[in-house]
Amino acid sequence: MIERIKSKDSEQELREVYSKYRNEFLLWAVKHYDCTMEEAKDVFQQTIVIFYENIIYGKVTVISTQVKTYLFGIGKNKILELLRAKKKNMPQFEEGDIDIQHIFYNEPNAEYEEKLVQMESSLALLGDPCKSILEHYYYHKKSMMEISEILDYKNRETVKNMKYKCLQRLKQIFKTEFNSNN
Amino acid sequence: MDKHQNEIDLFDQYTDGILNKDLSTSVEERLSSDREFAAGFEEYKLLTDGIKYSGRKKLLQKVKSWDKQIVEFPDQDHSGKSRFIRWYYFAAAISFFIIASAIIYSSFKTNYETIVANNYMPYTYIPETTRGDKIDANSMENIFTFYDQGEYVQTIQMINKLDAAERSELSDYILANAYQATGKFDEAIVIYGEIANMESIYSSGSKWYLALCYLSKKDLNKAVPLLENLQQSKTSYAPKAKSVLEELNK
Repeated sequence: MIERIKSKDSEQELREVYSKYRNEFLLWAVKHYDCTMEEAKDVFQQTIVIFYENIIYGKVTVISTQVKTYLFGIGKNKILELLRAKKKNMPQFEEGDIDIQHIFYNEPNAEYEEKLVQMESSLALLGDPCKSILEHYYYHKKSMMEISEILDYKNRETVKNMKYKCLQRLKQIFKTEFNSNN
Repeated sequence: MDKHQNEIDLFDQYTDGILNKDLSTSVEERLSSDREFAAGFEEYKLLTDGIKYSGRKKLLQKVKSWDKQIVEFPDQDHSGKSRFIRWYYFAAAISFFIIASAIIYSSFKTNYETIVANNYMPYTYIPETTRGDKIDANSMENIFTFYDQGEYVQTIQMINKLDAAERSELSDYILANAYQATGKFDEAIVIYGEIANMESIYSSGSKWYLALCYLSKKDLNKAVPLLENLQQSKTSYAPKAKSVLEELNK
């Protein structure tokens, strides 16, 4: 599964994981925690994103537990995070919970997040194909060769040069658009 | 390749953790001693973090779009049935919908809320043990006391605080009732749905309350089959279900 998620078919694979465990997770979350269906749904959707990121960033190379146990482990901690934020009653971590040290990406502070939102806007202004190249490389961790296949470029060198130029262009747009704020 | 492009490649490899130990140490030393180099890295981090942020949001939106295509809690899997049978069910469902709509329109406006109000009575818990003078604050007995007194929000909080080992069909049934009583029908539906499909003494009750939850949500398509099922049963809910069905058909 990890290899399939890292491959070009990652979306299809993730979608299957989502459909397979979604209802079971919602039932479990609502039953065991003081959260609503909508909250459980949001949590599960974030869980799928974290699951994907942990795989592509190499934070998990082998899922020693079952996928379901791993997903529910991530989901449980996201629910507890949510309950903490809502200042609700928080159950203690239970023995046998999976190690979550590597699970979460760092939530940015508000000031930095504002810059990330600005960068997201700059990326939208940059448009395709630059946007796709940069997202494939930096977010989806695709190699130059894979990007050249996905976006139908001649070779990896072309993509590498484009990636560099796109990054420079993004920097320029960001400075022009948001210079007064930074 | 210019100097700047080389630097970007170096940052890419450094953040991916694929530099050898010596090169990695050298980057770290430069980051702490070379201000220009450190500023370049900060800029690179912001750019790439922004790209990741955008990619993550896009993926999350995609996942949310998948959700709209998923059938919530289907009763059974029809994948093995033939296309003909599926069309047959589809046609039957359409016919049912048309008939149901005609009934609804012919009665001008069926007030489901009134029907629910006339028939809904929260489950009455009858304790198995005699209540003593001293009750443990976290005991089931204490939780059920809150429930009996109509303290449904408190009941929900207390039951949700229980460990899985302390939970039982009864506590779940009480929890679902408390959700229903506070208007949290979606939460109640999930729990009732589970109990209704179990061999439980609360199974028929769950179907009954489930039907009322669906009526509260004005979802006749789900409420009516449950009521018909109960009407055919030999439980105390049969006459109640019959009465509600008659009210719906008026």
